[in-house]
Amino acid sequence: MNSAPSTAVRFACRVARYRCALGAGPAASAHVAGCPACQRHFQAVAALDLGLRRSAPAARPAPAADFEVRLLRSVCAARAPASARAAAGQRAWLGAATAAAFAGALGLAVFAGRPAAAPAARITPAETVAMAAAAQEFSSRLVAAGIPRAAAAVTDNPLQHEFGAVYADLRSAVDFLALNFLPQSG
Amino acid sequence: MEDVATLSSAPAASLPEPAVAAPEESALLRAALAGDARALDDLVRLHHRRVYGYLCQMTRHRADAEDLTQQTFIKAIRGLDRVDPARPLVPWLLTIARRTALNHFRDGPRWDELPFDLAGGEMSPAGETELRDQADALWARARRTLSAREFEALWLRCAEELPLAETASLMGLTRIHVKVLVHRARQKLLKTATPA
Repeated sequence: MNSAPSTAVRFACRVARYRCALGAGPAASAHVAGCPACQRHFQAVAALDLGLRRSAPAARPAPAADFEVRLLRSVCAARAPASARAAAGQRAWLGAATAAAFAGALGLAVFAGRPAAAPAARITPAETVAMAAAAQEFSSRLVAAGIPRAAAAVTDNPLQHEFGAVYADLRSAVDFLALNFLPQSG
Repeated sequence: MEDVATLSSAPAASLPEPAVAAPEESALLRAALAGDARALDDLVRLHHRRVYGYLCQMTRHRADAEDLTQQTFIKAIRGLDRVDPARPLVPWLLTIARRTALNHFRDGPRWDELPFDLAGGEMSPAGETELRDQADALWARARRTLSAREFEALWLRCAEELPLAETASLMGLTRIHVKVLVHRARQKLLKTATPA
């Protein structure tokens, strides 16, 4: 019988303290206003916070004596590659720009100094006939001079027919080129 | 009623809520962003103890805390151009420190399972005495009593004096969750302080 009201009060205090800690409600504040136990509790909480804040510097362990130097060194080392990378990037950009400018200037100079293309030479019909005759003569001389001698050297050789075929092909090729690529006479 | 309001909100209201960076820090940050190496060194000098202290509390290991502090500042310098000079730098640094520590311990033992080694290496008799004395201190009791999350929330709010929003952002929690963690931490500490 006696423990029931006591438990109820303690439960109400607990709820009020919880709600106050969360920054809630006028009902909880009203409870605390009329509850000496809760007021003592919050005074103790305030004292606890003060103690925690005051003892925090002592609880924060001091680093080793040379730690600051080591830390600054590592930070400096971490910073150096970044600036080196930036400098290398700048150098590469400058090099590329210089090379591009040089190539551009060179191209411009070559283009500007190039003489105008000579007009295509006119070939007269007589020249065409002469060129065709020259091609025919070259072909005939090649056949007359080189291939028969080789063919004679290999008379009765099984390769004789092959030489004959090569000769025929060469002759027809020269004739084809002369017929198609030399200007028509007349 | 006014007294009640003061009392009920006293724990939270007693903690500062800085919204803007200190002028000195802001000036250093602007100079560092402009490429002033000396300003960057000054920023490191200004904040390395807080970062190291936070990491010491989280890792409970001096050597790990030193390594993680170095990693934190190297990452911070690489991402410095993303920082708003008008805002305090410490919450951002502590966020990097926390993530770096979490990555470091992802495959290793949990923070709260690590052996307590703040003295580092062999401990002298004087060090042992100091450690015993510290064991009675408030934060040592908090370390023994609270869960890792509760301790971290309390440390960030009371020792680092971070605003509620920054604490919540840093821990990846909601503001209400941080308030609940701090409330539970206070309750536990008050309970252990009260003689049975």
